[in-house]
Amino acid sequence: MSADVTPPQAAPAATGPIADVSYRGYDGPIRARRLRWAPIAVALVRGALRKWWFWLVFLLSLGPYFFFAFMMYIQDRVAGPNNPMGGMLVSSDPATRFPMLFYTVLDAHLLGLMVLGLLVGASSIADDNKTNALLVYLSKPIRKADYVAGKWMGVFGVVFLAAAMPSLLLYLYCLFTYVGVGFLKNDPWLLFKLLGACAVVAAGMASVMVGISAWCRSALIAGAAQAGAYVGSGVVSGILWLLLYHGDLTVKGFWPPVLQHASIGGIISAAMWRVLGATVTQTTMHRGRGIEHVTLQQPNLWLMLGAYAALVVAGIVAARMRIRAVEVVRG
Amino acid sequence: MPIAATEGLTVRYGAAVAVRDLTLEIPSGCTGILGPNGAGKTTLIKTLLGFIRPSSGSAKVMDLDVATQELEIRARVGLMPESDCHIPGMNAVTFVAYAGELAGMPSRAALRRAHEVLEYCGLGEARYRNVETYSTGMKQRIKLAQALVHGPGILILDEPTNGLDPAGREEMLALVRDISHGKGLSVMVSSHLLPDIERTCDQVILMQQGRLAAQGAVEDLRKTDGRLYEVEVQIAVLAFEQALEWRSLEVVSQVGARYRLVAPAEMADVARAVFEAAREAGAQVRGIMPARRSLEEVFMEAVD
Repeated sequence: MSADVTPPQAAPAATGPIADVSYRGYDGPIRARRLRWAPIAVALVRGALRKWWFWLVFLLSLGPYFFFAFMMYIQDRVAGPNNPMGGMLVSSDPATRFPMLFYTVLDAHLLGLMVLGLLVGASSIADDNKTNALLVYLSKPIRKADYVAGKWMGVFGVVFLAAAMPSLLLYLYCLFTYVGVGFLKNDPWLLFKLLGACAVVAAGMASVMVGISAWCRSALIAGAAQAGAYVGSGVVSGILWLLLYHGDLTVKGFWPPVLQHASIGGIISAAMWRVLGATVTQTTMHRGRGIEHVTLQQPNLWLMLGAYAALVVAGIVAARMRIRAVEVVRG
Repeated sequence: MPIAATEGLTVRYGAAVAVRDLTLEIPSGCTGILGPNGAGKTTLIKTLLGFIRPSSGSAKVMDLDVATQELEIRARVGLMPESDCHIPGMNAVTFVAYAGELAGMPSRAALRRAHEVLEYCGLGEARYRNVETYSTGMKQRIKLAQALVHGPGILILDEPTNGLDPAGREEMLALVRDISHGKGLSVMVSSHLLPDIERTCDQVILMQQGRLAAQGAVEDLRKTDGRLYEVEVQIAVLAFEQALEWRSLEVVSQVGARYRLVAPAEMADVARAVFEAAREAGAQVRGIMPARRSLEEVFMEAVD
């Protein structure tokens, strides 16, 4: 029966760009196994950077940077070269002035970063679930951990770049403009702290996005769940803080700052705050006391550190638990 | 050396036993895995790839243990899954090159190799099209291409002709036949389509309820015990059938002018008896040959 089966005919050399279309094995180099996650991460980043809407959202999310850069420029012009900051933008101690600036900008950028992370992260694993692509990945010599690490690093990379690029530009602007007023002298490690803060934001976002995406079979549902978890937890913590402490920033103690940060965004923001080591002041309007400058209290270090670590680890563990090449239904 | 072997392999899904005390050796070449639904063929493939841990017993692929060396196995095996699987937003070249990179190939080598296997699989013209826009036949081919890209020693094809039209099926079978012969590649084909296995495979494994029902070369399995013959005459006549039976040649089936008959064990020269019967009945014999069972008959016999 098999005699009548003819093998596929090779295309003549003149008609195809590849002359020899017969099959042959591969005996070329093979990369080290510890780097197997890298192509997954690179593919995710590359895929995101190719999409026009990614750049649109990225540009829109840069609002806080433009605002603060503009404000600083105006201050500079108004106050003159001897006192460029003029106390108008940040009125804190000169030693912590710039960490506060970067914390404030990054904190304002968080929502934009969340949207960017969502655009990249929602589909990261959910799309693979939907199209059975996990079989393609896991039938190759990669572990589930490599797969999750690749996806996580991809989302991390995108969010980190989106946070670090404008932050570095702002840093350079400050460096060239304010080096005379102690920009470098007051905090020589600020650049590294800034990169660390961007990494903290990216790691938190990546874990949440990848963890939720792994449990969904549709990027749309994953995105809705991620946005719901981020915004929902923020709204709940905000309402509780308003109800219990009437939104009064002057109330000190263990719980008020914890409640303020008892959300996904809050936990990430608190961790970023710690890394930057900023003393943050805020101008508030109180009914009885009038306008006042309040130095904000940071939430308990160990509690927030634990919460942040739990957030990052939980996302990775959730993704790792869900990833499997085949569905095994236990009878 | 066999490409895969199991020893007392049992795989359970909770209380359900999918593969039961299976001991077999899969030789190199093209081997078909046949069995009705629930026979355990897919479970066997998944176990050989290390996706499922055996409950007891052992399984080896290229002498590598599936329980402890699954990554080494997957580096040497290419899987063409039954279900559609593609990575959204990628064209064929990117997808296949990406599959190569996942297998550890450097990106430049993976890209070059992707072009080669896509040409081989007949997707050269459509290589820059998004995979999501592909027809069913093209999707089958790209699954084959991604399985081949890293140059595996063993190729596992799960229902390779699923959903294909007759022309597409012919082309896919030709491709499978070509790749499994003289290319230094062993192929395992899991299919419920017996003609596909018959046309492409040299060896066959028949599974039934998680057990091995039969195994061997397709030609050997199709052989009868030597007493079954096929006789073709120019025009079927009743007298010929009667003359055959008078000589103790039992006609078991007749399709048109083709008779299938069983000769008694003690009969030394069956051909002479057939020709004598034909002369007596005035029939003209066109051909006489030892009968071969179809794979379907082998399958039904093993399953029963």
